[in-house]
Order: sequence, then structure tokens, then C-alpha cells
Amino acid sequence: MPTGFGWEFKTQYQKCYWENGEYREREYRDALYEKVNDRIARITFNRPDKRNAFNDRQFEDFSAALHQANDDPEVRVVILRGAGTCFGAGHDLSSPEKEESPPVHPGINPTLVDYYGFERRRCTKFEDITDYPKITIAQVHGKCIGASQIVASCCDLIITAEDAQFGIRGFGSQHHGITDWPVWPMWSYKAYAGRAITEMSGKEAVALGFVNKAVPIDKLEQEVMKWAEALSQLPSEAVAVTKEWINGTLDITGVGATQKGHFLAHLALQYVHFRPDEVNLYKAKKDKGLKGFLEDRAKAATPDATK
Amino acid sequence: MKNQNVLLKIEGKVATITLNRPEKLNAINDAMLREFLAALDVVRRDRDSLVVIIKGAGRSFSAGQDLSGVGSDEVMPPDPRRKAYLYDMFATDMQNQRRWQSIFEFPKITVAQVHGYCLGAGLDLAMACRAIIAAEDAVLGDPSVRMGLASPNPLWTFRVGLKKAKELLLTGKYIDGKEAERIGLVMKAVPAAKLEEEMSSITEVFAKSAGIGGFDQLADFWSFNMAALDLAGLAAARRLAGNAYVLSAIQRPGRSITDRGEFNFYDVRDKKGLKAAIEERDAPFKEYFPPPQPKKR
Amino acid sequence: MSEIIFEKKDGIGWITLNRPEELNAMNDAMLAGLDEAFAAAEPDLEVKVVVVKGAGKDFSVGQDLSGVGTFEVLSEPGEHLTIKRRMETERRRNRRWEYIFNLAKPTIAQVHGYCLGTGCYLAMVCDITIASEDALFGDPLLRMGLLPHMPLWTWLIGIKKTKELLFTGRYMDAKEAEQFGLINKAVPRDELEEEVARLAKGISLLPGDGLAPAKDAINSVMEARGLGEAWRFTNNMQLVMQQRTMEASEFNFFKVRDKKGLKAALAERDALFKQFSEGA
Repeated sequence: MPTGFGWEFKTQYQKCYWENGEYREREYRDALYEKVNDRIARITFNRPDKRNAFNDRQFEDFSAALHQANDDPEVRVVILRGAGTCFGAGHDLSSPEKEESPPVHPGINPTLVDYYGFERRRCTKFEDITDYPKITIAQVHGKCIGASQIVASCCDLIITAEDAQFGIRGFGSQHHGITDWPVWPMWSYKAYAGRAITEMSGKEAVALGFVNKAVPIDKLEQEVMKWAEALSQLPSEAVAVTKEWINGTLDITGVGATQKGHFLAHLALQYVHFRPDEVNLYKAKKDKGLKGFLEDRAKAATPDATK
Repeated sequence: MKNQNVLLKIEGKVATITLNRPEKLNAINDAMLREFLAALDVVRRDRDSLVVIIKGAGRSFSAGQDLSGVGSDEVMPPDPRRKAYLYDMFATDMQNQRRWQSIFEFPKITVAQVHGYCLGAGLDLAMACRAIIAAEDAVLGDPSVRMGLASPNPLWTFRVGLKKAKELLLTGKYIDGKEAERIGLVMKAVPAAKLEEEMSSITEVFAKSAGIGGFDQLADFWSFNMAALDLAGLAAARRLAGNAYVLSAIQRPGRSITDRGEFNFYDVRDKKGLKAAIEERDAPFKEYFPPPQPKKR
Repeated sequence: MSEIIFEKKDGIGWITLNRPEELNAMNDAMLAGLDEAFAAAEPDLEVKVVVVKGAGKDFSVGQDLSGVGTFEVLSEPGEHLTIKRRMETERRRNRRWEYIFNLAKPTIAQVHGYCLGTGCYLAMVCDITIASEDALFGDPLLRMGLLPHMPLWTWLIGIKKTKELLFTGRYMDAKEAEQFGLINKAVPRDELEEEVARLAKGISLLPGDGLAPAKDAINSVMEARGLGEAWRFTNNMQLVMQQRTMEASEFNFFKVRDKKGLKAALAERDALFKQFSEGA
């Protein structure tokens, strides 16, 4: 199975052409790019009033920044973090209807062929993070849920605040979903430590192997820099080959095919038929607004009995 | 159909299937397995239930395959003292692989409630569920290797990892619910007196876990998870583990020089009864792998 | 072959890595002895289970990095070998671990002290690993610009911990190793021998023709999960790594070793990562 040594958006992501360095003229807005020093770049998700939820613009800024870091021969390590109170709350559920970031509004009335396009563009973004030839570190604080949790999972390493929250109740991420990616290829019950609600703190996550290190939040930036500085000493080609080897062994165990295979699951989601007692995203948003929907969702997923 | 070996109850969102041969510690024989699969079929067609509890009547979840030699031609290999045909053994094994696969892939949320003994095929059944909640003093294990058999269950390395899978299957030893939780064999272990309460709480969480896309979403993601696992090798793994099991089961006593003079379960069972045979099977290992004792209640 | 000692007793075959002054560093002679010992143990009807351990204070620090008598162990930069020769060499080196993994008898690694690099690989391919609490596990190859090459890492400890260990090159103590599934059990140092002896004796009472397919069932599952292809892929990536260009600014372990000696080279290597010397 080809693992694709080299990292090319062009073949997979039609809306993004950064291979000619267009990012040089770019005004980063919803994700920011900076160099901390010669060898360490940092990307900050920058929609703090939206809890750094992903819309199309944030994805575009994010990909441009990854390209810029990749093309810079000095950069060895890329840090991802979120502005404001959290790493990220996933896809922006309040996105305007014309955007491709999900959820794709049924009002657009796309065809199945359109859906395949959305899926390919959306999901290969995450694959591209996994295949990135330089070291990636997710610096997580606050909420890290949905698509943001997937982004963190696709990074090589996760350093987190102890009180960060991974996953959120009611999101429907049953055990063994893509957010189990950090502990793949296990299929263990242990991953949720006896808890059926799929939320965990940074502290719990490190004991289970989902993240690499958890520290008090005031020590977070310092800890990330410690790792970034140490790892920026590794020879870059050796790192690229080693990453390719590790990711390749995972591809061999089916992860690559799984990444593409799960498009089918997302596509089928567009045809969900809600039962009368279930919380319907579109209806709840219309009736109660986004905040009301989120409250309903959390309540519906919380048992009356004590956990 | 007369269902005696398995009881089924459906109440709203929750279905409960109870293994019902308590005087035999719910040992699994051909009839019980068939009735169990039939019960699952009924639950599959029910529109309202989302969570399926699987438990055992009496003192145990299940002590495993019925080793008595009566009514268990499908769940046990043929008597190794007679020369069997590979044709029959592979046919039976493939049938069982399909059955266990259908349990593992069941499209509703299966939760095993484990107390007392959970051994051999009983543990295979629990492992095929999406979650296991166990009493801390439950006794879990697979003694197949003590009978010269490989385990056809391909899920071991997925659930507990390579090292623990080998430790448990190459020694045949038993562990308690607490240890099982520690290594990830069960999701959670609680004091036996709290088991029902915990099950009730977990069942409610699962029943409410339909989340952003509802029941349809759960079904969608589960189908994909099954594809992902097959892509990760489970489909082939199932077949290979089954084939290794047949290879182990076709061995006859006295065939291998290293086994000459070693314990023959079937001879002891015929002469002294099943209980004695099991005791003699396990006796030499008590010193090296002391079994946890379930608390008397 | 004194680098490996093989003894049989009560149904148990004991393989001892025997270069204690060199912390049981693996060189060509030791690997040849290891090959012989396993090849002898497998068909021997008096051996039901094999235990591997290290003489002296450690299990093994892994590859002998001295550059002397180590062609089987690692490729030095600047070697002029054809692709074909490199492929054959890598296949032979890695097949050793695959062969031990698939030995038709149960294997136990009894680990104390350092268990690093190919020493750690040997413990990983044994069925069951029991370690003393003072044991340290790790794979510092990337610090020297070399490819870590044991595909079992991700299967045993998961992706995140694998990347952490292989990028930082840090060591993991026995407690952490047990927590993340690298080993089966950590015990106090003075209980190690007894724990392993009891385990080995218990297993030796089981029928050999039951143990072999029982192990094969599990190994076949791993093969189906892609381990078989992963061995081969690892060989290929070794070749890729051997073709890379060394950077002017990077730490060149082999140059420092040739100029200042092995000890100095190791010290310099690890000084660069002193932040990760005693765990993260």
C-alpha cells in the first residue's frame, strides 16, 4: 500500500494550492503562523470567540501555515495550539451555509458526488497532518473535542494541561472511533478506564497513553518548548524516514485504508433519520440556537444516576 | 421454540439475555448457543431496544464450553481418542467462527454482566460484547491450553495487547475481575454487591449515547468500525486462529513423545466424572498459577 | 561460543547473554551464538520453554557500537555496499527477530538492568517478559541518526508512546513498561529469578503439542494484523535511512567515536538530550 513519502496537497485537496509559496503573501487571520526560533514554528488557531472551531478559512490558514513550515528548510518542529480558552471545539456548527466545513446543511441539497468531494477534502486534511514529514506537537489546554481532537490525535505528540478536556459527552463518539487513534492498534476496553462517557481529562489521558505528558496549565508552554527544543536537534532526514516507517507500519495494519474507508461512514451520516426522542441538530439549532442545542445534547447524554 | 437454556426479556430500550443453566454454571452446549443466537435475532428485529445486557443465572456468568461430552458436538472438538476427519472439524470451526462473528458484530450495544466464573467460551462470549462489567471477585480465564487446545478467539491481542494475551493463553491461568480491569480485559470491575447498580448506570449511559446523530449514527459508525477492524486484520485473524485451533484439536494423546504419559482429560472424565477431570486438569498448576477464589455468598 | 551460554534443566532451556563487562552488548559473535542456541532449543524434546537472561548487571545494552566485529549488528555510514547486498543484510538481521518471535516453543525474557536497542528487541519478541523494578527499556537509535527497527513498538505501547520513546530516545522504567504493555510484570530485584522460574516451570508442565498451536494462533493473528508485512517494510526503510545525507550541523556519533572513543561519543550523544535522561 503506498504510503506516499513526500507530502502533497495537490493531488488530494483541490481548493488549496500552496506549492508555489502563495502563503508568502497571505494574511493569516483564523490561524496564525510564527517562528519561535530558527527551528521551531508555531501555528495558533485564532478564533477564540468561537472556541477555535474550524471553518473553511481556519482550515485554509492552517494548511498554508503547514506548507510554509514544511518549505522552510530550517524548521524541524511545528507546535499547534489554540488562542483563548481552549485548543479547539471541533467543526464550527454555526458556519454559514455555503461553507464546506461540516455539518453540510441539507438546504444546500448536494448530490452524492458533491458529498464525496467534501469528504475527500475534509478528511485528507487530517491524513496530511499524520503524514507531515516534520515533528508535530499539539499543545492542548481547555476543550479538545471533535475535529480538534482529531487534529491533536494526528500530531506526533500531545502535551496537555492536566485539566484539559478530551472528548465531550453526547458527541456520539463511541469507543473505538478515530479519537482512539493515539492508542491504535489496540481495541481495548481499558482505553476508557471503566467510563462509558467518552470524556477524559489530560491527567486521565496520560495514564492511558492517549497523550504524552500532562502538566499544570501554568507550566504548559514551558514543557512544550522543552520537548520542541530537544527534538529540534534531531537530523531532519532521519526524522522524516523514521516517521515514514512508523506511519507505514500503521498503514500496513489497515489505518490508511481505514482513513479512506471511513468516508463512507460520514457520507451515510448525511442521511440520518432522527427518531422522535433524539436531539436533532438542525431542528434544535433552529428552535433554540446553537447554545440551546449544545445544552440539550449534553443533557441527553447525562444519566440521572450518579456516574 | 422451547427456550429453556436462554431467557430473553425486552423492556423499552433495554433487552436482557440470561444464560440459564445455573445448575451447570451456565456451561455452553449446542442448544444454548443456538437459543442464544435466536434470542439475538429477536432483539435485532425489535425497533426500540438499543442496549443488550448479557448475564448468567445463578452463581456464575458461564464456566465455558460444556465439557461433559453430551450435547456439545458443535462447541467442543471431537473426542481425541477417536480418529476424526479434518473435513468435519474445519466445517464445525467455520460455522463457529461465523456465529461468534455475528455476536461480535451485533448492531446494538451489548454489555456483558460478569460474576462468578467466566471461562473459556464463556469469556469468548463476554469478549465479543462491546463492554464487560465484572464483579471484582469474578474469575476469568481460558484454560484451553491445559487441554492441549489453542484458542480460536482472535480478539485477545486487540483487547489486552500481545504480552498479556500470551501470558494468559500460554499458561491457562485465571485472574480476578480487578486484575481484568487493570489489563483492559473488562471495562470496569466493582464489588459484587454493587454490580447490579453499576450495570443500571452504565446501561443508562449507553442508552443515552446516541448523541448527535442518534441511533442511525451509532449503526453507521459501528458498521464502519467493523470494516476498520477487518482492514486491521481481524477477518484473516479469525480464520487463522480457527485453523490453529483445529490443528491443536486433531492431536491425539500419545502421538507426541513429549505428551506420552501426560494427563488425559477424557479418560479421567469417563472413569471418575467431569468434576474430577477438571480438578485433575488444574491441580498441577495451582502451585505456579494460584487461581483467585470467588467469594462465597 | 562463550558469548552465549545454553543450559538445559527440568524441561527449561536457559540462554544467557554473556558479555557482562560490555553490559552484554550484542556483537557478531553473540548473535551467532544466539542463533545456535535457539536452533538447538526448538527441536529438543527436553526443552519445553526457553528463558533468555543476561549475565552480570544487565540484560543487554543492545548493539555493540564499537565498530569492531559488528557487521551483523549495524551498518556504519560510508560503507560501500550495493543495494542488493544491503537488502540481504537487512533481511538477515531482522529475520533473526522474526524467527525468535515465531519459535515453536514459549519464550520468556528475564530482564534486569539495561534493556536497550536490540536488547530490548530481544525482550519484545519473547512471549512473556518479566523484569526487575530497576530495569530500564529504550531505543536511542534516532539520536545517532539511525532508524529504530522493531515494528512491535506500536503494537505493544501504541502510537503516541512509540513516537515519544523513539524521538526522545528516553528510557522507560519497568513500572511504566508494565503500565503501557511493553512487559508483563515488574517485580522487586530479589524476586526476579524465582518469579521467572515459577512461570517457566508451570508452563513446562503443559503439553508441547498444545503450546505450539496455542502460540501460533496468537502469532497468526499478529501476522494477519500486518506484522508479516511490517518486518519487510522495516527492511526497506533501513535501506532508505542508509541513503540519507548527513547534515553539517548534526551530531555525528561515528565521527566522534572514531576520534575520541566510544565512551565519549555516548556521553556526547546523551548530553544533547539530557532533558530526557531520567524520563520525561
